[in-house]
Amino acid sequence: MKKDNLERKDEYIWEIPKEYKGCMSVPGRLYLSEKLVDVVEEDTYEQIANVACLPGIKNYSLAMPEAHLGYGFPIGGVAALDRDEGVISPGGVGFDINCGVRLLKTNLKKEDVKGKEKELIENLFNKVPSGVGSESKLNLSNSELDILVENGAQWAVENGYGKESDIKFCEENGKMQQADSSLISKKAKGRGKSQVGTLGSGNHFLEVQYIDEIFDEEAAKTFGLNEDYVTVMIHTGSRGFGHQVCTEHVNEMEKAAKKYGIDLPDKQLACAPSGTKEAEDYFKAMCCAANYAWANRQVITSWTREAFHDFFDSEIKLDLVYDVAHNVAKEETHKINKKESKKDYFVHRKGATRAFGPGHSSIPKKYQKTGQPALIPGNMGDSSFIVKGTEYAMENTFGSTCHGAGRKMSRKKAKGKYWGGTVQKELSEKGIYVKATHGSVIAEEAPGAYKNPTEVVDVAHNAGISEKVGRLQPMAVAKG
Amino acid sequence: MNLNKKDFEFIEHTADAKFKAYGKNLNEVLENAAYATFRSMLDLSDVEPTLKKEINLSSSELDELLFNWISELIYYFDAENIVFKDFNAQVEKTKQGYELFSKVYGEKINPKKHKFETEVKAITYHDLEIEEKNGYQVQVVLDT
Repeated sequence: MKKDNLERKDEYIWEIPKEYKGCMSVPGRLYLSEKLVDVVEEDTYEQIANVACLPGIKNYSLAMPEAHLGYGFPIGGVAALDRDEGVISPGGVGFDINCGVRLLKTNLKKEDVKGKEKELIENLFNKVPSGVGSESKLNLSNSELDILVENGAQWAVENGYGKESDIKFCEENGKMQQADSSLISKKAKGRGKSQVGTLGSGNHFLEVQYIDEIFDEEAAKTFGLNEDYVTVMIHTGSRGFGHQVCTEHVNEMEKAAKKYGIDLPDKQLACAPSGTKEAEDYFKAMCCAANYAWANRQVITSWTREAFHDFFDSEIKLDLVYDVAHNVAKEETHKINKKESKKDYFVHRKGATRAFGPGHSSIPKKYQKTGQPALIPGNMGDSSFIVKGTEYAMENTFGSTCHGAGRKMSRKKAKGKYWGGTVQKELSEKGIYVKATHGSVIAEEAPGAYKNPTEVVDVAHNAGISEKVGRLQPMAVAKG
Repeated sequence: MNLNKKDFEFIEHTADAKFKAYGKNLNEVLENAAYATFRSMLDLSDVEPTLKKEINLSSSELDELLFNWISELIYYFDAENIVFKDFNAQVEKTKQGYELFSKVYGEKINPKKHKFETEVKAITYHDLEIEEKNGYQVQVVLDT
């Protein structure tokens, strides 16, 4: 689809008309600035239109401001599928189920870390296994893994990784209740057993940052954020466990779609009607993978705390601000407009973040007045943001906003254009120390390969789907 | 044994890895697709084919066979930390569809020796193509 087919509805709202494709039952709707429209690949529009063909989709096939090419769903895609008449699609969640981000605030100031970035990150790198093939320091039995995937972050805390208060600052309290470990294959367990507490590779990272700007004093106060204080951001997901769960269910759904007579424009959108065994089994297994990811981030949090305590030789506070999932499907109740009554949906977010507005019962008590914090990581050379959910998002995007900046250059192109050593040197001149398993990881993840996070977050802010609270600048980054 | 290792090409894709692989028959195209999958992660000249695995599977459709074949290799890569470089696949047409018998060779991941550029999480059905055209050709998008 060509960009000319887009209809501009508002300064930041663009639509793909329902008539674009015969199978679309709703229009596509994108939140973009004029500048961002130009960097969206044309195939991304096609993917947004394809999602609009899923049975039971409500209102719009949505794309957040970082929209870019994915497989099946676009990255930045949000779709609410009717709980009774819709479908569930593993492709709407992706292989890295509950890939997500958490933010820890510390009682350290920027000056306390300045000059020590390298040593600190080496310490973190030694504590938290990263990179391809890295193995966890934990070796779980199958039965322990069963308990872990049914209890998520709560398993971690019960086993000494973190504190009770961490739980309430995770989406879903770090545990999706519908998880059923009896649906997990031997293979998923085989991949998952040795990866609890590992960062992984690619765009996953552990970053030491400081808060350089506060946009919303009141919300920042509620979230406990102060200028010049150090934060730690952890970005990882459900590792091989989630990848295997998705792989197996995409195949099952492929057959289910045929069985239930669902005609799909892209096989990766394979799905099954809610309530069918195929849909239920996937959802329960997906919940296991989501819980695995929360346990993973919780264990890494605990080792991060250890690394800080050892390094500074004192009790450093590292309190969890919040933990968000950005690849997940959730059963949620939404009231779209005044005319309609509340209804249940399976909201699929693929590279998009839940950002519920003030007063929602699913967000921690402490944040009831401000709205849910959402974390938007940048890239290793650019700012990350903490934003808050809005009432507008509740009415327009099923309470969702962007999840990151999104790539604009393929890994291959980035490797051709940048050299790891040079990128590392340039970042170090900006005061950012980057540690990776080797140079090509740094080249692939070079800041120039990503869209400018400020632009993406500003569009979300100006469109009203989330509001900026604070900005975080990287000081030291560990990449897998 | 698969000796012709140039029988594939990478295609531009912003977030993931995409390739086309070719072969004069089904066996060869599957071998080349497997090679391309691992080549998208690292330079395979650093890998010694000292460890052998046998992978046998069956599928009713050809695209599912390709999906299952690559998924199985990724499984061993991730669960047992083995990186593969040589592939010997034999496909047989049956009444129910296809059966694949294979022997694959590689070695345990050694971070000192193996410089990974990226990690493949899974094969996707997005844009997946397998067609008979001057032999066979396939198109694959990998989630990286």
